[in-house]
Amino acid sequence: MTMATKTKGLRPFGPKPMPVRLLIGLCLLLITFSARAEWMDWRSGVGITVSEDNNVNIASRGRDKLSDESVQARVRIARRYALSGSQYSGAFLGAEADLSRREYNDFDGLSGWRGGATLSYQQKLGLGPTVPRLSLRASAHYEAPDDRYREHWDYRLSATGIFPLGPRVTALARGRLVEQQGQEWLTSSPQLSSNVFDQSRWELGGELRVRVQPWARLRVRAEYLDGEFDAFCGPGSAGRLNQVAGLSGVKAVAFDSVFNSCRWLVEGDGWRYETGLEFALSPSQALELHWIEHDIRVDTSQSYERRVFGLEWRYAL
Amino acid sequence: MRYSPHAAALLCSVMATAALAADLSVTVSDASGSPIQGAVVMASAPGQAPEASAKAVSIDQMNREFVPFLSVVPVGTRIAFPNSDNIRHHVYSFSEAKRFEIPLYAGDATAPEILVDQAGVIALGCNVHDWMRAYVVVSDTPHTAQSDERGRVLLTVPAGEYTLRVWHPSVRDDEAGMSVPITVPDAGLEKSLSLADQPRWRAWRAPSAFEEDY
Repeated sequence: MTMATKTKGLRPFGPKPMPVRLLIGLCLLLITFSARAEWMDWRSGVGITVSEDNNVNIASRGRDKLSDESVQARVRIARRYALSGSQYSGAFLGAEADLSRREYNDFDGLSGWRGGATLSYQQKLGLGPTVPRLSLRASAHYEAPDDRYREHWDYRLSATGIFPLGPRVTALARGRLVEQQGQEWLTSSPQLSSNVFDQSRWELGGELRVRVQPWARLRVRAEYLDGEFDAFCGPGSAGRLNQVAGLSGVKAVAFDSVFNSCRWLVEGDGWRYETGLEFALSPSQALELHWIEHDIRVDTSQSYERRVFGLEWRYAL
Repeated sequence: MRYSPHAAALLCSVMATAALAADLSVTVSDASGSPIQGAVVMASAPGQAPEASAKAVSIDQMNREFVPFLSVVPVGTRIAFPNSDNIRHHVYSFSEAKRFEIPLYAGDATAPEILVDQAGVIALGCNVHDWMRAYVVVSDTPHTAQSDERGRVLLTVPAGEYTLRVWHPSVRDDEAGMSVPITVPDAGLEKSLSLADQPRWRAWRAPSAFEEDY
């Protein structure tokens, strides 16, 4: 198998300008507000998630799909502040750091670390637990799988409206911008970029959270996704890579050593559905069963379905 | 034999009081007949006001919960809100019996106080930690007690007409609780009350992915 080797024209591996500007803007906003901010509390916790993914390589056809199981351990710590003045403002700030390690059973190259920080601004429209809230969040995470070509930055900016509909039901509406800054992969087609993790997309959706029992809460979420996606694109031969590079709608292509296959970056849209059932075990422990389904259709006419089923245990420190 | 007129009057008064005192036994249950423990039972009549304690009653904040969950105090009591956590809390109440707000504060050295000057139920919350809840029942009668594990309350009251009120934090009724008129004869009265079987929702507290998500 012969592959073209890219050694020139590599884009510097680092944050994209726009997410960086957004993050700097939010930081400046927080610093401006911080003169009036009073700390409220720390929130920290750990979690372990066991997941089964039926399409870990994100293939279109059933015979190409590969499934795998993974275990993820996560730790997070958050500091929260309230903006005060002569009167209650309802404005809260948050700064959070988190670090996680995920281990896959079969595909070691996907295993790796993820760490980063999140800044948030929340406006409560009144006092008490049942008033609407608006929330802005900006996060920057670095993902470092063992397959180093998969290393990338992940930036997210989201705006969420939270609307309690009673003591048991809460509705949410959210818009989110996801930007990923990947890097050029070693082997690709000479005709096209190999940076399949250089992605950008919008996610718009709604969610309903229903407390079905005092000790159990159900959430149902649907999100429309529009933007760029990476996916399996056939066998990992040079001929296939060159063939794919010539297709309309393909923005990047590379040889994926984890699956010995072709991987491409294409535009598309679709839906993500998510259901979770959370069980309260104690004030400091909870279990959650969740199910996530992706249904994406891309410009090259393929569609991708992916289902992830997981069980998470959380402990608040 | 000579009797002091003062001693005779005192004796008559004591005898009269003893004769008028009657036992009011109240049993509180839910709609299925199961006893309700911790229900607050109040028998009130005009002119029978309770005495407020000179010392403030404390409702602490420990491990991000109010302690105790339920307090029963007479009208005119001062309530202090020490904060034993090493974080800050923002205590408030929207209840008609007492609307107040204590903005963010830490420590218990200078515990803020409020004066409860109206009978009713005060629901407390923390604006930082939404799961925190507590209730204060402010009573306007000295004849107030909480039911035991058998749902029973025994009050000793002067015979007469009363308004009997019952309230429990985990049973949804109207905010003022159940209220019935009763007449307590000299021989006493046994009364059974059944509260509406609509449990008030109190979600279990647990670390949630939801709160991390927005």
